[in-house]
Amino acid sequence: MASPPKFTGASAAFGTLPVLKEERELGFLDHSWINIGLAIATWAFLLGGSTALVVGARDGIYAIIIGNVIGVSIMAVSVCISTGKFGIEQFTLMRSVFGPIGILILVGFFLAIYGVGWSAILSIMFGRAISGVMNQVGSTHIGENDLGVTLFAILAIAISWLLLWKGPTAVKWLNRFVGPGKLILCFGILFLIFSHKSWSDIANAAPLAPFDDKRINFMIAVEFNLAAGFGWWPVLGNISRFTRTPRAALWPNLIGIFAAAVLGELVGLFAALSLGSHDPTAWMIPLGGAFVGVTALLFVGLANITAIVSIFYGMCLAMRQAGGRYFEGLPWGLLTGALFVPVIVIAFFPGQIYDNFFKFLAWTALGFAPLSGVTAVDYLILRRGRIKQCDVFNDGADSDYAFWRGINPAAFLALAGGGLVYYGLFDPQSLAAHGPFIWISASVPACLVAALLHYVLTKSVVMPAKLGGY
Amino acid sequence: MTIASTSPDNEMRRELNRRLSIIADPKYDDPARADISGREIGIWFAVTLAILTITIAMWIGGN
Repeated sequence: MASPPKFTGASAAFGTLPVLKEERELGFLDHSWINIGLAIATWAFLLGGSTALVVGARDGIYAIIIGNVIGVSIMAVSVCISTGKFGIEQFTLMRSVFGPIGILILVGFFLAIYGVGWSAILSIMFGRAISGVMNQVGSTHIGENDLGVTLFAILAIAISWLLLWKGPTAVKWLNRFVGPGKLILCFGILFLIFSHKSWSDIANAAPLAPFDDKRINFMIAVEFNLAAGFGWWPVLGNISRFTRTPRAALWPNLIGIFAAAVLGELVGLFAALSLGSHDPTAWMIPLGGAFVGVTALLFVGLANITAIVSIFYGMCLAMRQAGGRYFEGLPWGLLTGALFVPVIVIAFFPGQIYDNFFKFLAWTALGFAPLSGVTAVDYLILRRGRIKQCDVFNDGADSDYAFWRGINPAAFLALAGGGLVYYGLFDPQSLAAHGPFIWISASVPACLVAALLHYVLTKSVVMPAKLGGY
Repeated sequence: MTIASTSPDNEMRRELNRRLSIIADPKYDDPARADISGREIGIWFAVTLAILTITIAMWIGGN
């Protein structure tokens, strides 16, 4: 007699298996709290600081709300409804859009850039935070781009890898302290800012590095925040798959991600404007003095480790699942270690990467805004919420989602079209704006064009070929 | 994990098949699997559009 399978709810939680009713642990409030914990993180301070580069406090508040509400409203509809309904891991479910080989390309390209980029930025932030502590406590003189920062960044990577390799459950334990600690840090920074400065001081503070045209500055600030909203695309679907109702899958994104991210970014915006630096690691000691500042920096370092592990865990899991037979035999320690190698290389260039964070953000929007458009139109309009669950797990040519040799070219052409529209309106590298960018941004038209292209190509090419199970 | 993986008769595939057959049972009742209504999506976009409109109006008013 065959032994019973050793699977539990945890297997579904850490893999691609569809979750069953009894494994869905997230109600409306639970999902909201998880999203709040995710959104209020050190990256929110970075985003607020980047917004302060181009606009002042008043324009910054509006830009943060406008960018986030548009990005989150489209992104949430594009991934959280489908994963919430089917309970299937996000990148496995997305085989219905891109095909099994297509999703491997997408994960290997987009997600690797996203995960490696964010991990590099957070590890350099860790390096600068710990260097600040050493300078204060140990009387060292480590500059913000010195080798010392790189070495501490590599230490962050090593700790993250060990945590990932030996047991991500340690991170769950750490997050019990880090989650509430982030909220305390947020309100602590706000308290310290307003105990040193008045609202009119902050409101009248000039942006840190604006362009000449005020309208372009405002739209660039909106664009950074659109990027932040759309940038949740690879993260949230794998959380909403554990929700108990469609309502609990959707609305906590507005309460949790949107509202909490706005709060965290506003803290970053005000701190950057009042202290004249967009770098959160440069705020703590001037704001809180030696003891409070060092404690805050140590906490920022710890929070960044948990964030790196969270990002990498999701990315490695997605790579292993999307890779199917190619990656499933690869030891977990080797896969995670191999993906950390480019992060280590990037850590040797702290100034170029960390201080150009906003450019990385704009590049990610070039990918995620079209992705949100394509996945939303595919699930909600073209499929009307119907997906053949057996076939998303099927690599064979008999799967509805095999498309052409495992790739759906319509979805990729739509992504490319959206990306070109983005690039035509806004160059993420030089931040040069073109044409109607100052009125319509780049992410919104990129998302809409990609959605429209996917709809037209699917109706005119994929459906007549009787592929894709539409 | 995929159905056509190198070892197709593995434990993981058996568990996947077990879960898929549970889900496929017409008597299986999971509220999360209900379709979200068009009305709910409409309200979602109405709320986010309201936040957007009010913010833009305040920005224009402030400038």
